[in-house]
Amino acid sequence: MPDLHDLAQDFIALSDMLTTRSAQQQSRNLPPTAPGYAQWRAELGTLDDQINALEAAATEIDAAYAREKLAGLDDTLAQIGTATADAKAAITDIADANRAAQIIAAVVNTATAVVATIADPIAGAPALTASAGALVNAVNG
Amino acid sequence: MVLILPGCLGGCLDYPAVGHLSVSMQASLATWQPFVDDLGASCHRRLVIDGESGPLAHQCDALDDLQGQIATRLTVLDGYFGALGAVASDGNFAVDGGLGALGASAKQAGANGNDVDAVQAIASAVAGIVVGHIRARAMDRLIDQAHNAARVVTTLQGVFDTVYADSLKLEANKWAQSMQHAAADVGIALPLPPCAAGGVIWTSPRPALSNWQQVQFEAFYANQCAAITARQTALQAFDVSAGQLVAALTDLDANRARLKDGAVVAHFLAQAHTVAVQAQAVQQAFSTAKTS
Repeated sequence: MPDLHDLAQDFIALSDMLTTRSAQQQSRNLPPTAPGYAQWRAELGTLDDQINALEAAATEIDAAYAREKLAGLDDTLAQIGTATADAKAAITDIADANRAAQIIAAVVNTATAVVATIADPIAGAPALTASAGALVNAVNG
Repeated sequence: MVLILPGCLGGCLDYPAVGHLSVSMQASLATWQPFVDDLGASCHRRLVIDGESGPLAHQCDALDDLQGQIATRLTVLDGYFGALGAVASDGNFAVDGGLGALGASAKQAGANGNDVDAVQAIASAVAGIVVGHIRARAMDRLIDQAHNAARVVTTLQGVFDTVYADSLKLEANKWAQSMQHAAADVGIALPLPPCAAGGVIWTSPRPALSNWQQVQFEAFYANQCAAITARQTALQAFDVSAGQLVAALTDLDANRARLKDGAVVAHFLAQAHTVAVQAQAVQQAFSTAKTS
């Protein structure tokens, strides 16, 4: 089934044909005093009107074709927009002093717990587990 | 002992290549704007030639509206390429300053220097893993969308290849139609030759120009044809550039697991260069079209 663009192409082809016909008619170049001058001028005027109408229609149809194509991208663009926003949020998180401090604090707590656990594995283990859990939460926001 | 933390804690993958690529892709996308602007402008030039009034005078409204719709979609793509570049930038994922400051404060507050150094050393390693994880996750999510971005580029390219190409064709026809009328007035034999790349090719027998008016007419017609055909040539350059953009996005998607691979990095750098060169070609072609 032909799409809207094919239809616009048909209108343009028709407009081309009439433009050629108009050029042929104009090449007769009748002077105002020649017999049939009025009819010749009227025919040229009609051809111009038809060409203009065909071109306007082709333009409208092409625009409708493009709108249809663009509408088909809406879901895709929404997904791209979400991924973009998430990436920007991740960067903002790192740049944000509070959020960075939160991550750093979780990291430092874990590191402190690691040091304590190395010194005293039994006493340090619960603190290490707790701080590691807090770290995971901090990372996942 | 003062611990010197590495400049990039974020598990330094070879994102610089992605960074270069994203900069080139953004530059390439920026060259689309003149085409967006000219979509409606081409239609309005047609109306001016015609001195159009009445219902047909509104035929450009749909294309004017379309310009806005395309621009909105280009903004999303531009944001996407920008985000790729931002995630590829090491500076956006550095927390070493914060760790260093924390260690220094702890020491100033009287904490045992050796303990602080030990904690800081472990913290820096853990932070490297943490931030690297956040960064890799962001990059992954973005690359997940590379095939979608390629689809958007292809669709927009298709819109220009059809709607803008048609608009230029209609503009060329309108000039031909208008010039046909004018040629008779200055006594140039009809039909006029069609517009061709670089101007007008007069086939034999070329009309003998018998007066200054005819010489001016011929020059004017040739100039108008050159302007339209230069835009058509710029559209061809745009096509090549858009195709390269799609190739780059497809490659990014295909090589996502090998971003550290030397050959892949070299390929991306070469591709970034190609995308940039072709974007320049489009810019050049369109500025030639504007000055024709």
